[in-house]
Amino acid sequence: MPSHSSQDPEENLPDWLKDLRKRQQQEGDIEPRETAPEQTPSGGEPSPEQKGEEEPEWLLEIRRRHQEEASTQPHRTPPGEGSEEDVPHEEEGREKTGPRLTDTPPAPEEAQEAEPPKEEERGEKEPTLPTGELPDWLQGAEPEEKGDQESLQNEGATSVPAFSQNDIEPLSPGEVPSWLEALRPGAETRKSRASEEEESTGPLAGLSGVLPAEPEIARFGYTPSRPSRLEISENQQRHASVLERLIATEGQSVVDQSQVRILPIRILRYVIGVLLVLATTLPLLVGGQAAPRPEMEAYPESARVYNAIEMLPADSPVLVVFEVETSLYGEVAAPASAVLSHLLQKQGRLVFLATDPTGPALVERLLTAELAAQPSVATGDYVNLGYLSGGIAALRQFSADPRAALPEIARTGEDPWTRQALENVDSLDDFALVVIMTSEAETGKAWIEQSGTTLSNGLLMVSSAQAAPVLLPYLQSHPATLNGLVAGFSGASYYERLRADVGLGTMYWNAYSYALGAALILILIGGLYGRTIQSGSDNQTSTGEEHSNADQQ
Amino acid sequence: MKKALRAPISTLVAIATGAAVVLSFFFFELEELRGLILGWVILLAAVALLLGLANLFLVHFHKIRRGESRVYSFVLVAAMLVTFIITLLQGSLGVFPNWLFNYVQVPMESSLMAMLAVTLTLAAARALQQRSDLMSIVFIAALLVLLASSAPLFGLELPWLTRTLGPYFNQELSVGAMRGLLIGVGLGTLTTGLRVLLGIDRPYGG
Repeated sequence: MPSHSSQDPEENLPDWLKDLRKRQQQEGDIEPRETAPEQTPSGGEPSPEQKGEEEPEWLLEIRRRHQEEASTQPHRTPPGEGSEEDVPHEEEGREKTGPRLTDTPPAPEEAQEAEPPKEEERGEKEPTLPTGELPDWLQGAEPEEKGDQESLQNEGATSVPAFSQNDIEPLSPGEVPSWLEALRPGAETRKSRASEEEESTGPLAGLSGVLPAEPEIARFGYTPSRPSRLEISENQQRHASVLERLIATEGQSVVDQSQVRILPIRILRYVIGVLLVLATTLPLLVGGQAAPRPEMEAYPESARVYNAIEMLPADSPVLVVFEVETSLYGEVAAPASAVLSHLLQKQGRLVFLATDPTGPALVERLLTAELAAQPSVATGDYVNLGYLSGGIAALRQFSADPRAALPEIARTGEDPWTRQALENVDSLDDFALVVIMTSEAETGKAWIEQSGTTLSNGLLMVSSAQAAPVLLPYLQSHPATLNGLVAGFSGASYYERLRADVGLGTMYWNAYSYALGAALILILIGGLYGRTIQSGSDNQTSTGEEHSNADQQ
Repeated sequence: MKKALRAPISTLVAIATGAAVVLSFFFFELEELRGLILGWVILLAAVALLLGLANLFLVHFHKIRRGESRVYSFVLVAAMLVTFIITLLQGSLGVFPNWLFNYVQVPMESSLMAMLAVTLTLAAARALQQRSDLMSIVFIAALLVLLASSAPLFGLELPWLTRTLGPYFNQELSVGAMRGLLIGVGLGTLTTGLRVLLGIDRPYGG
């Protein structure tokens, strides 16, 4: 039991408690503490009447009832053992004794009526409660009440202070029944937490609910098992099936489509070659002139060449530059032979030059193969200057100073400038005509750029059909750089028609007409066939794409 | 000569000679210098041709030694040596050199060009099968029109093609396009020449 100090507890009460007491005093529930010791008859111990005023009414009623029972019934039957016959007795007893513990608390009037006899009884009797017939919980609480009463008597206070800083009794933890403990919120988690988090290492071993000494990462344990079932979506399933198909076809050999396509292309190439050869050779073998030659107004640029040569004085030096590639010799030979034939007919003194190593040899071939019947050729009355190295620089040099560019003929060591054809030639403009025979547009352009401006009469050209479009713009230049042009088989045929002559141009014109028609028909048929196949494959592709899109959707 | 020293010397020589030739067109006193330089060019070009032949011979000779494409290289080297020696002995107008040229070289090169005609015809026939867009169709159509307007087909002349449409394509359309092309080529050539003269481009390895 704690010792009570002799100090006045009223002084140490907090303000809120003081206010509460004041309110209670105003209501008349609690007598002031100051007057409490004077009212006490015994001087220390509060009277039962005072006790009854302090104690709640239900407790007072219980005390009174037990006192009455103790006086009337020496034995109390335990609850539950009594028969039904005892019930009326109990009820009678109840009426006599008053309300029981299980009954509702009595009405205030009844309590007030019961209070005076209690007070009278209590005033005569000792303030202590009877212990013989009291229930256990009251009997157990009696000594403490006695002690409280003694302490209160000693203190001279009629009321027990609700709160006192000096008389704080440490509350001992009561024994909480298990069923109540289970109902406490968080009891399970506390139990589980206590069982899981009970520290096993360190200075706090055995305690639960403390911070772990070891970090979580240092604790080893088995990983929780995961469900083995794999959940995949429809899209993933589709992709997996595609991959499975790809892997399944991996070991299968694939037919090489390129090999399948090569053979038909090779056959087609042979067929086209045979057709073109037949179209070209048959007219040559048969002969005749089925294809009409070009009209007189067809090629005015060729007519200018004809007119220029037609006006050539006899024994005039004519420079013929032979810039023909060996591969295109067959095409250029036709117009070249026509023009050279005309020049020789006009008795021009031909001077040949080449800036290509094969040029001089081709000149000789042309002269001996096609113009051997010409007297000048037969007698060798022409000058072949040979090969002039240096490219465009050589053209520029020869245009400015031909003698310096070619001091001698390389293959013979002869000085060409002593020949009759070159006696009076000191510059390029001293030639009556300069005829460029070329198979490449670049060579013709180079001669036009380097030499065309130095010539007062301009250049004349004989070219292949592929070089003609590049050289045509120079026909309209001012000052004139290119005066005339004879190009390809059409030019040759036209030039021979102007001369009323039949030569290579006329001979090749028939074959050219048939070969051209055959090529045109082959290209047309192939184009229509290709277009039909392409449109069919496009339709298949679009249909396949639609099916794949529908499958994906 | 060290590479570091070659670079500025070759550049200096190239710029100097190019500038001299260009200035000779403006200053007539430099015409002789231009003639001299161009004469050197003629000689150097001939020497370069010989060096090219020698290089070709050495390349294929080493190929023969290493065993790479031995047959083809051997045929080339053998033909080169035979032709060179015989022409050197008989001259370019000799019998055997003429025979080699007229009956071997000219037919071979002419045949290769004839095969090109067949290949081009096949390519044109398969053009729409390979690629069938608008420009391909336009190209094939233009090709057919030009071919048809070049000459009578199978001996039959189509006047509206050979006298109207053909000359329009050849004289009007192609000439205009080619003029633009030539102007562009000329400007490009001028720019390239200036770059070489100023030393910006050094195709000679400087």
